[in-house]
Amino acid sequence: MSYEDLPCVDFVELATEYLEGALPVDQRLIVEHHLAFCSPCVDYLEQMRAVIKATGTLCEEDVPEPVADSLMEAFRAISGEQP
Amino acid sequence: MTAAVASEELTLAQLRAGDEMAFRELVTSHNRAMKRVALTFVRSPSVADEVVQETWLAVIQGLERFEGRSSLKTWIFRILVNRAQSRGVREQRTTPFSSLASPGDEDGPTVDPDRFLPAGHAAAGYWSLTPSRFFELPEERILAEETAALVAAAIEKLPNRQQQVIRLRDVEGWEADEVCECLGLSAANQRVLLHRARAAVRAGLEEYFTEVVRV
Repeated sequence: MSYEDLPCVDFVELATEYLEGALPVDQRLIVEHHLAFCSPCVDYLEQMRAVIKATGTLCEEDVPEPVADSLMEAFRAISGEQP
Repeated sequence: MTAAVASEELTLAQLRAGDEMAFRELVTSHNRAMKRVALTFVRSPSVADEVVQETWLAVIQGLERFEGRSSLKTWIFRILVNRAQSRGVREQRTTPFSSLASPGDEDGPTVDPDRFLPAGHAAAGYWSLTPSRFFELPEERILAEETAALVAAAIEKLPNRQQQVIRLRDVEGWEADEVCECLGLSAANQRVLLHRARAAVRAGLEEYFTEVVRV
């Protein structure tokens, strides 16, 4: 096995499977071997991690009060009907 | 019994007993993800709101019958997806699931081929233009509002199914198997969609923070 077994153009398509732990052992070893020698691909992988982190910071608005209120009302009404 | 299962059984018992706090908590934890997912099936935000509202009503009415064969969350989102899909069809928008083989969705490379050395070159397939170095910026940059806005904009531009997957996985923090169950995807398919979505967001950030290094 050598660094040449996996060109960068193929590595980039395996990045998510690698991060997900979904690669079979033999492929994971080839990926790790490639990473040991290829700093641009290490950079690429770090960027994917940065993307995941940045995406995780997206927060959206809370439930608007009127919506929450009407749902609570429906919950009260329906659970009141049931024994 | 795992802690998650125990807490879910507790929640379910509380909901069935008409515990309003438990219901409010459930709404708070899922409502916004439900709206985002609904919006990938239907075009209009007001229709998405209706779908979410209908889903909650169906959830309240179905609580007694819910058998716990899936998690509460997965059950809720399956109701949502079913309703959103049929509303999407009525809205005459092609639903994501009917376009399993839609071109440009799952084909082709996720990084511009020009970034790699061409066939015939001694090092064909290796970077010619290495990834630019936005990630080396301080952590504050990754967590900055500016970056969040770029990420949000990049996600908006993704094909529907990629949006669904990246929103549930990376925004909402769901596990892969939960996403597969909710959206009816195979594990491999889920990973492909996630990869394409993340790669597109990465490309968007790179373009913005561009500082391409030639080797």
